[in-house]
Amino acid sequence: MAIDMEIKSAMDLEPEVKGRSLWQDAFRRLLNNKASVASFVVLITIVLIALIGPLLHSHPFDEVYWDYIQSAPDVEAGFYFGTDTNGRDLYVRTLYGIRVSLLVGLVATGVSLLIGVTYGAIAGYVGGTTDNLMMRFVDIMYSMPFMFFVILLMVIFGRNIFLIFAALGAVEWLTMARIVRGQTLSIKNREFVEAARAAGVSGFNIVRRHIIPNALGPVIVYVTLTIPQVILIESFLSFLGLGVQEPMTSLGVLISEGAQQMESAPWALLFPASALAIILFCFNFIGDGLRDALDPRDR
Amino acid sequence: MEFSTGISRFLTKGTFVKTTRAVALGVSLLAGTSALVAPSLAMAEMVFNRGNGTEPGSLDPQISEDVNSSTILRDVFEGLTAEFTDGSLIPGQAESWTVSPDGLIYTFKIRSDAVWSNGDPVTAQDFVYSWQRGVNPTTGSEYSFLLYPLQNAQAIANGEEKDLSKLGVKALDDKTLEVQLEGPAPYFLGMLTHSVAYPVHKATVEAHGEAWTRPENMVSNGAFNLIEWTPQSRIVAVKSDSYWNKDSVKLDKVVYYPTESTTTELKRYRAGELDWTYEVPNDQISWIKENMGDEFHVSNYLGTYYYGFNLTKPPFNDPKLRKAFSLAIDRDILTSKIVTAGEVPAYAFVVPGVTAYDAVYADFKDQTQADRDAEALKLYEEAGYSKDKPLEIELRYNTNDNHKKIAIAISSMWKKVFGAKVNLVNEEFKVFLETRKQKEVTQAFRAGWIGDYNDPNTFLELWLSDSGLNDTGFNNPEFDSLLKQASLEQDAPKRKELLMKAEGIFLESNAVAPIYHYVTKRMVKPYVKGWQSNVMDHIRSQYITVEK
Amino acid sequence: MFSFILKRLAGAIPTLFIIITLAFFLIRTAPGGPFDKERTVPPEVQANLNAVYHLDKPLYEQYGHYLFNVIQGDFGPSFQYRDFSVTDLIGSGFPVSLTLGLTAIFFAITIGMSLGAIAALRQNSAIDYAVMATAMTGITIPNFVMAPLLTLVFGVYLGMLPVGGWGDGVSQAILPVVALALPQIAYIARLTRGSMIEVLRSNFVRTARAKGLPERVMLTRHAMKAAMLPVVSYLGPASAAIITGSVVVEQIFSIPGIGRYFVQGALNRDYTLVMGVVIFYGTLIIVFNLIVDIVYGMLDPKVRMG
Repeated sequence: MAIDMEIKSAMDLEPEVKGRSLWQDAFRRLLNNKASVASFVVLITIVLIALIGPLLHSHPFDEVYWDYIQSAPDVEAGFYFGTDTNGRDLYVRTLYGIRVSLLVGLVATGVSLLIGVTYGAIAGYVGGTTDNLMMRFVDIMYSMPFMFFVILLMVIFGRNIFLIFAALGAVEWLTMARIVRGQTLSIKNREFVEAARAAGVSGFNIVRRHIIPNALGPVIVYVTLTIPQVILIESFLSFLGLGVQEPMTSLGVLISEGAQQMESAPWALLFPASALAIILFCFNFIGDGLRDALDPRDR
Repeated sequence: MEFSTGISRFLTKGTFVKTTRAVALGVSLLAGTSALVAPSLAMAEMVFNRGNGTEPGSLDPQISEDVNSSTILRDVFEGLTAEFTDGSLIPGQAESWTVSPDGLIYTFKIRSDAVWSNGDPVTAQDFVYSWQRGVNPTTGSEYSFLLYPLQNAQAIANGEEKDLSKLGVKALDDKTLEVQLEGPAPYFLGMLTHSVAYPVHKATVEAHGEAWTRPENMVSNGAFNLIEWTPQSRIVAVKSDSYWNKDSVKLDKVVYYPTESTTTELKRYRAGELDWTYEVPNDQISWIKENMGDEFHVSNYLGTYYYGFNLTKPPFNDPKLRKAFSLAIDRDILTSKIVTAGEVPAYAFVVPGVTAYDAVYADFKDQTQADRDAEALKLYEEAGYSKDKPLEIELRYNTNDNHKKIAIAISSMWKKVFGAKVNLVNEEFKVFLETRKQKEVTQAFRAGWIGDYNDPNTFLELWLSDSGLNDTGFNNPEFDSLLKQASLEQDAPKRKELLMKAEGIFLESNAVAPIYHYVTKRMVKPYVKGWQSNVMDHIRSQYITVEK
Repeated sequence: MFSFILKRLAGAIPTLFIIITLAFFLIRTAPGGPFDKERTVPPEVQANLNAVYHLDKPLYEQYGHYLFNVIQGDFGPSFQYRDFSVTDLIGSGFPVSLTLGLTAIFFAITIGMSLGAIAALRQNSAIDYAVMATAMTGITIPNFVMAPLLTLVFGVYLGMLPVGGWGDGVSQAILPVVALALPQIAYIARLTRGSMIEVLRSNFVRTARAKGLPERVMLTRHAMKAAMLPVVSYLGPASAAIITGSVVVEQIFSIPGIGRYFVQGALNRDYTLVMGVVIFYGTLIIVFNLIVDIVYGMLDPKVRMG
């Protein structure tokens, strides 16, 4: 497959360096990348605000303020971001939305990581017919209209945040599996793997101890790109009305509600959309930084 | 331009266009001068660009079941009776009719100048064929039950009676139709304006099967003829030359635009692409009132938005608790701050203003909200709950911004008055319908009812113990018997009394908490004239003029 | 080459079979049926409807029946749009989605690749940052925000372009094409920039430069070709998705494409319509993946088809 070829050819070029020094080098390079470091700082700040902010604010996220229905930001009254059509505080709701969106992004990516890495490593390590069959299956899955299956799942099992995690993870693991398999193929014939095999280490342990840690570089890059993608898919589902259950909210839900009233209540769109944009920006910069840092040819 | 010819080629390929002269002219003009000739064409003829909600499900009168196809069918077909702009009943294809003294036999005289768009006369046999088609099980008509007042209709629909000719309708001659009813049904004449009772052209239906409604095949008898149907894009109808009352029709052409998103519809209206919207987005009503209030039209609609309670399971099998929860809904605040178009706070289930009826209200209608809240709390405590020992319930609604807003608001009221814990459960529509019907897990749930015809019966028959629509499990023998008596009663005032008494019993039980009565709300350009709001929201293009 | 294509197409049959089976049983597990409405019909009417559409038969029988019909190219009637067959609906919607999608892809590729290449050549310059920041913004603003914003500004405020509709002239296509192409431009620009930078650092470019090959020739003839590889592999599935229509864009611009049928079909339990669209989409993805592999082989001599 095309992507495998790409990854394999990239890995062919990778010089054989000991794991630890590779990581140290990479870390040093990452620190030199200002955009990445700044993004990292911004992201941490956002996470902290999202976690702590609501505690310091007197408005609960689900309280209806009857006198402030759809009202513009008003610092004196404590509505920093204004209120929604139900008179609920959008500042607190945006912070909750950030929590949920990040959680969806992280957990879904985690699910895809778990499945993808295991699957890819096994396929690559075992090789032969097993590999062939397993990758054939991935090909088949690639031809699935996935968005459609996600929608169907949401329809059948109802709006459940865990289902969103699982469904999105299930969509995203395919590429992950391909990346890991490609990596595994290139690693498994290296000397240190041969040595471990000669020393009688079991297949499972070789995969766990040697293959996966060495395949991690591209995987991490892919993860930082998957998180924003998952957050975007979640917002798309929200647009279709398949987002998280009220009174909980997500950035996607807030934005799709805000988009309905961009003229009459621009604040309802502006704040959550900016939050989303900043978060996605950060992840993209961090991803780029990591890719550059892990690219051995840049040395 | 390469690109534009590409598009128009695709368009004609994917569209079902009837090539009448008017269209051929339009297409050739379009091709000749590339884009945007439409405005200059509009000068020459009077075109009405009508926003029309979602894509119609079917333009087959017996099969159609949604509001948006009904709108089109009312323009394209005509039943025995019709409605004037104010919704009042007027003769349609029938020029006159007589009713037997017992109210069971109707004899219609069909107009001599009633003809199909292909020139064939509209005959009594056409109606016989169409109504038989409506109740025939193999047609798959969702509204066949509207024809149940006809003798043997139900028996035919459920397969007990195989002989279609047993249906209580027969042609005495080409232009005389005799109808035999099961029992007196004062709403029967009004029901004839529903599409299921429209005639269809037998030869056409039989020749083309399900494709008979395509513009190139359709033969109809109404004020307009269908000439184009591009799914999800537009439906075009032009004035019919064969319609008996064609002189009343001023428009040359009506273009119906299905627009799923109300936000998009409003934008198209503001950009001048539509003269009329089907709806307006709820979130923008205050903005609209402020900025384009003159073009915003609101009027009462024959429907009630309510919350139902599941009477078959705890906790809402307790009537006190139901009353408490109904009392605690502040309908005035809700209709002034959450749904803001001008919806009417509801204390009755049958919409006040329905014909042949005097409104019956819940006993707390005239109390202040403070009194209601106090009484609610008292009932709540009598039911065994308190602020310390709060009740936890689920409030179920289906995915929709409006339902969501209302659920959030009402749950907040319940929390405020009782300290009850209300969990919002949002389900996708079909899942919701299924759960609601099963009455297993539902506690409180959203529902709405739009009358099928202008009569209290269409509201009250929902709550018969054997009604498939009775999702609350309300079961009251006295209510059932009152409705039964009313259906046999020929004396109008007596029938009214019976129905009012039945509603009183129903409201007393608090099986539902009526919240508001629907309104229709739409944008209409000032140059659109000749229309009037009416409770059924049946607005025929036939009387409309566009005077730009 | 020809046998490669044949082999791949033959391999697609089991894939399609799995897709059909999975989708068929999945949609049937969903609660509710096509004729459940707010206004529940009487039980005898419900039974009649089920009988008319053979929904009263056991599920495996319906499945067999469906497979049999599909093999003959009959996708059945739509349950929601009862006057049309699924083939009618896809047949009338797909040309629209295709026209719109291809136009958007064309702009996405030309603009995206040019921007990406420019950014790569001026790496870390102001132009680079400007392009990348714009691209990133394009990615971070969801379609359902961008599309209404465009209609509001260009349709309602400026009155320059139609807000919605299709088939009355080119002007109606402009905003939807822009809305569809924007995120793609952003993705492609990023991809091109990344691979271009890599290519420019590679040995063969260094050699070419050392040999004194004119920069312009080197760029257009060699570097660009190599830099296109990741774009091509991205474009495969992306094109299939764009061509089958975007629910968001179709809904907001009221365009009669087939994208909406995905969601509408599933929500309305329009079983046959859903199946038809799923099969159609699955086939397109398979075909596009195949095209990608062929193009890949032409661009990259290292990949041989077997």
